[in-house]
Amino acid sequence: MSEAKDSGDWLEEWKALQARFWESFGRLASANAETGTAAPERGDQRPGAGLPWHEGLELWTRLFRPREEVGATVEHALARARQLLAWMQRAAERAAGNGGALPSGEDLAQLMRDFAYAALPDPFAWFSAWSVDRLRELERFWQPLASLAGGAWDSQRAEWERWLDVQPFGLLREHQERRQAMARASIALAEAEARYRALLGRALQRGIERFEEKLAERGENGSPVRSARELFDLWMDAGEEGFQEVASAPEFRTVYGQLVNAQMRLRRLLQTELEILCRALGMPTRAELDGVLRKLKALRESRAELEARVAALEAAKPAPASERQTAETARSARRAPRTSPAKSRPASRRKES
Amino acid sequence: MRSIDITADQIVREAARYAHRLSQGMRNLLELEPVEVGCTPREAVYREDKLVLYRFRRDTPPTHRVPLLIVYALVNRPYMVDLQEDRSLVRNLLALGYEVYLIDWGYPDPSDRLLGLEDYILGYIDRCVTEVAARHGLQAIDFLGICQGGTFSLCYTALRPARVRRLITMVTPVDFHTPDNLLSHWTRELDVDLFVDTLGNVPADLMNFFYLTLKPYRLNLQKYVGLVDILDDREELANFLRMEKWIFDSPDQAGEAFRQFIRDFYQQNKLVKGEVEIGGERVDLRRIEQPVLNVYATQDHLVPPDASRALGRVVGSRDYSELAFRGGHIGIYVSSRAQREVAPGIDAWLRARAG
Repeated sequence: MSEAKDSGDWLEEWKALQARFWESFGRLASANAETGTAAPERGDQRPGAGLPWHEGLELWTRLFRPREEVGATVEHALARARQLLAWMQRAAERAAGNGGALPSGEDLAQLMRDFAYAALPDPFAWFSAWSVDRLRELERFWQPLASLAGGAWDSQRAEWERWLDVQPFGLLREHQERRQAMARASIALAEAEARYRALLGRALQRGIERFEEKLAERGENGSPVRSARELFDLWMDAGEEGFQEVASAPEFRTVYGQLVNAQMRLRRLLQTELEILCRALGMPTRAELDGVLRKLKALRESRAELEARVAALEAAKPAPASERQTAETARSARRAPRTSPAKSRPASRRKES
Repeated sequence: MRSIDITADQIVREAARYAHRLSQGMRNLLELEPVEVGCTPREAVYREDKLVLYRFRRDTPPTHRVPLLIVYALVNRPYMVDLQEDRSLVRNLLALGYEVYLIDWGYPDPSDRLLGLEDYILGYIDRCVTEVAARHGLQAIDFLGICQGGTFSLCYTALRPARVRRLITMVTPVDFHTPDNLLSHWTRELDVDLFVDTLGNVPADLMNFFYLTLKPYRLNLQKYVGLVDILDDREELANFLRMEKWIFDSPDQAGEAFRQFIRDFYQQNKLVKGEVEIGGERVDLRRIEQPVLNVYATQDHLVPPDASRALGRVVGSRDYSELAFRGGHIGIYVSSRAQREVAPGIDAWLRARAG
């Protein structure tokens, strides 16, 4: 579809699609109510893909893509809407297969669990964001090791660690040693991630338990949940409570710290590799620039110190201010004194009026 | 009694209504003007590196002699205090007769990674105070420190008490080890030296990701599902987008300042112990003897009330007051309740200590 159409065309198209989708959704729900069949197979694995509203949401996403101002928000909101609608669809299917009423117990818990897995943010999204393509080449070395952190890992760990402990030698000794360190860091990160994911799983499970408790309370209080949205909000409350419970525990603090530290160790080693590569190609590096910045900072401080002395001497000449003011002025000036307007003021420090 | 009373038909109808609202809201999103933030006219009166000191313009002469300097946190942009015309702490303070100045820290880049707390507190803040005080012919001015900026203001006041006349702190962490402080809990076993040595400046995206994961269900799911409820209200939609801009328009954090703040404040909780050192000078909150107003939010998940109220135990001032705001860390700036309560509360406190 062309994106050059004006918004009027899109709106009409959207409305027509909406009508068709909801008609077919209604038919699907009725059919499922009669037969208890599941939704059709989907090639696209995103929540809601292949379901009646999917194409409509995609259309809307495309419509907004050119508008940067709202595009990201719309895409984000649509992603959540898509997940909610997909969840509603599944809930309707479950209800259809349960004599028309939404089930409770494990069936409902699984429904919620699926939704949370699809919708909650990837805890490692940021970390993977800086694994740029260039660094992916380096990753090839340790990824096979890191991937072993799953079930097969325990049995082979000792073997791998033995190889990683082998003392390198020869012309590439230093390179080999760094690679070994990187492999170890990679393994440590995979293990830290696994521990963290386990805790997130526990938080999710705890959320499910809280959800069931809340539902039971509603039943006991004679105030059943009467809408899908209300159910969703109750699940959000329960999920958050479950998460807070796990996230506030000492174990979470430790595992979280280990995860971030493991990420940083690997990131640092990657940075070192990149710097070596850059130096080999005659390119400036972060470390080199940091060295310049440190020298610059020292120079600024040294200049400030000198200016403070000059200011103190000048202040001592005419009728002195109170002792306390002078002392305080000197103390302040020591950090980076203000030069008098008549004298040269550093470009970085300017009075506007 | 059943705990769920929903049928398949109901869900279908509800989903249809939800999708209908989505489609109705589409026109509003298409037609919405780009949101703007920071509504009050202002002028830059001092610049240094990336810092800009602003004075907000007044239509009438001020009715208070002592100007108020707002010191905001490093972790978000300071226009939150002047987000839009009907949600502006600055505008409310101006209307109450104050001269208001604001420090905008700017966006640190990698060349700022070595900026430490000494540079911020005894350097930038001190020179801004000098500028504001000189403009008004005063030795000392009033401070309104917000969040981390409140912590900085406490440090500054303790180290340079002669420069601060009255101190107001708002949603300011003081005791970083209260049991309900998740932010502190998660940073406790972070190897902050490794972290900063590795990253240099701390990227804004990482900070934002961290904040979102503090409440993953509400901030990543519920909020955006709920957006559909306001899609047909253009004003609410604009408010939402404005808030989204503020939340994600975050500066990177200068590495050294971050290192010191995490290590000394979050991990070792040195402020309440009187052990923080800035530029070789020890920060002793007992040296703060001027009047102090501590404004905290009762539902603040980033700076829990107890973390803030600890100030009362450690500050030297005999004139210490608290103002409890019923709301959260963000609501204290932008909620309609905040417009009614925060600036008037500050004004009443300052008026009672005028002269």
